[in-house]
Amino acid sequence: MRVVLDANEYVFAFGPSHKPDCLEALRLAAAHDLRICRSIVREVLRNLPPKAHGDFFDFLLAAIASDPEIDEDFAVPFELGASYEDQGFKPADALIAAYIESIGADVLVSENRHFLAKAARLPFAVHNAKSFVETFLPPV
Amino acid sequence: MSKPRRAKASAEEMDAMIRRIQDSAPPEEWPTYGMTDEQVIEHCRKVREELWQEKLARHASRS
Repeated sequence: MRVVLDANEYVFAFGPSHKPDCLEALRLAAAHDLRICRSIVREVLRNLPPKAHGDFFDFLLAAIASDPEIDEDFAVPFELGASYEDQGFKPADALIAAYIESIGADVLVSENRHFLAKAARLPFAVHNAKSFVETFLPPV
Repeated sequence: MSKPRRAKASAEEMDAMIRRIQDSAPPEEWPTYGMTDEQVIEHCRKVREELWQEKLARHASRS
């Protein structure tokens, strides 16, 4: 299963609240095919203290098995982004949605309920951390 | 497109890395310190918009 975590999931997991659902979502996503694009990396870095930046990249190197680990925004087809803008997405949100579709991801995990509310139909599932873990964590 | 690269870190190594990030600075040095969940989400939306505007400005200055 290919998974993209929105920047807010990293911020909640690493940040002062250490939100347990988001931490669990991070671990679960890392056990699958976790992917990330340059824009999301930049957003996470903006929300981390500089001292944590190196460790964040170490985490990405360890959690992502694709090469390269970070997908570049410029590889996202322009037309795909434009199609999301046509649906009413803000340009930055349209880029993320188009990225997720372009890599064939199965799931986006985000705490931002408003982000994708404008789309009538999406080619990927959207979960928050709690529902992602509840849905995909194997029973013990 | 991306290709499979190598084996990933173990769950224990992953936990250690997450802890290192969390412990890298005192809570008050984190930009989201003291925010409620809703405020963090709103903050992340603003950061996304700011970075988009910065990207547009960079492109404009190059052309």
